[in-house]
Amino acid sequence: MATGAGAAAGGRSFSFKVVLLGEGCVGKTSLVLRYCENKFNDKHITTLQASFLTKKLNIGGKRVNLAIWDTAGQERFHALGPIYYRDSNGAILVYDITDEDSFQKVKNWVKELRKMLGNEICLCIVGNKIDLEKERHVSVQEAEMYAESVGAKHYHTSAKQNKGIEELFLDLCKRMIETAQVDERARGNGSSQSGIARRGVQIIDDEPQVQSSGGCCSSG
Amino acid sequence: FSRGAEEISWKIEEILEELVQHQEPESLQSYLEKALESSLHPLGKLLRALTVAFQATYSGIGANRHLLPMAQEEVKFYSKKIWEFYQGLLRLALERKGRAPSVDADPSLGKGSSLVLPLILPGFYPELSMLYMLQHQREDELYCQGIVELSLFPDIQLLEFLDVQKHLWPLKDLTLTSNQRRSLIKDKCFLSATECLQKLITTVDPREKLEILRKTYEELERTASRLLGADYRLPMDDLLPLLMFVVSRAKSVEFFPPLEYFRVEEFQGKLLGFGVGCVGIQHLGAEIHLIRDLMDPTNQGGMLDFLLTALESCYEHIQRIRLHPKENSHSS
Repeated sequence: MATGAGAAAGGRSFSFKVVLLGEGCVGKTSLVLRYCENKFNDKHITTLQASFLTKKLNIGGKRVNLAIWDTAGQERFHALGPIYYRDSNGAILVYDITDEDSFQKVKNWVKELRKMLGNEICLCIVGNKIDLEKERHVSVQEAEMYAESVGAKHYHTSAKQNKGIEELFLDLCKRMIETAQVDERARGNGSSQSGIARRGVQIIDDEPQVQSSGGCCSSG
Repeated sequence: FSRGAEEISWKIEEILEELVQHQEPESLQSYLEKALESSLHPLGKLLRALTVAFQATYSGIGANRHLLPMAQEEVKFYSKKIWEFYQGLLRLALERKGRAPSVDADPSLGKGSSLVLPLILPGFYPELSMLYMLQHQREDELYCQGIVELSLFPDIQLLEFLDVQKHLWPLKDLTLTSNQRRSLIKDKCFLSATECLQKLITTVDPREKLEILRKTYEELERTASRLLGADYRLPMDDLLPLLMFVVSRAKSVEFFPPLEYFRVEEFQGKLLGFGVGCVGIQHLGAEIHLIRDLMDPTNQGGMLDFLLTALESCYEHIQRIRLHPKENSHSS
């Protein structure tokens, strides 16, 4: 699944795709903009937006290229989700701690992601807006227990006060590196490229190939 | 006789000499391009033979959608082999001059084949794109039906239907003549982005197709920034409806590659058979999947992959749009 991972495995450099999920007003874009560009705007309608952001990190000598994909939060685009999730190494699921509904949405996405991508994907559940602690409607305990039960990690953040965001991304990257390395070892030393090449080799002799695949034509 | 043989060997000498001189990335591409076109150059000869074999395999009875995965892998495999062949020739040329082959040859191997692929693609394109069209025929038909329905909306109604946020409606672009009503105007909003996206099928090169997509996106952002009077980057909640608008408004300006590009008469017949009467970009599903399969793998996860995925999600969404359900047309 995680074909995006460890593209240049030999050079200790990793490329990860992370999808960003969350309802309209939970502040998912603010969170990522704060992290990638250290920008924040408090206004409701702000021109400070983005749908695709990247960040380069260096973790213990390993270079990480992070590509963060925004997704549409509206319900009518819900069915399109799987197109975005595929091949992603991580997912950041954001809810607003003052909004119980947004937490329910996160639960739905978790189910879907696990169904689509299994345990390959590193999940982060993020309770944003901890600067509004007084208006909290999702209890810390409930959220953390839920995260644990689905094999996700839980984080508390405030994009406004720039709290908890660095930790969130650093932690996620470390987990994705680990997953990618386990994956590599499982596949032996061959990188993903040699896997493609091996498939290609079957096609060298075009004549026998045409013969052998003749059987599948009749199936349609 | 002997003079002829001499001439050929002299030519090979020359070819090897040229190889050595065109190793820099900038001149390498144009050199490879010329070499692959030449009927005398070993690379050109190899490509010609591969093209003929490919055409024989995937035209006629071979034009079957079940053969798409093979055909697609085959073209990629050729690009890899041609690159290896080039490297072999270069090594030979360097050895003859008593120079050691460059050390960094191996890690760039993947990069080399993605340089070759767009150069050799035109020769395989007719058969290959035919297979893509056959593979995605049913989805493309649904997409066409969706587009037909959306094309009936005037601009404002379409913006409303797609839930484009009001502050992103380019109402100033709706210039009226005295006998027009604003609510009835069509094909005026986001025109620059629409015109850009329409060019998608004017090239066979996946790199250029992706570049067109990037420009379409930039045009959308430029229009949005103009409307809001500030630099505006579109979040997905805005980008998707706007891209949907543009995809619904885009038209196939001309059929390209032109029909004569499809040499075999039978192909022309098949092509005329479907896609007729579709507004919008023809065979968009086939286009999207061809780009995805043949784009440089280093694009995976990156901005261009993201935009292609956004386009794909518009394509999927449009297939589901049914405003005027007709009687059951699918009997089976």
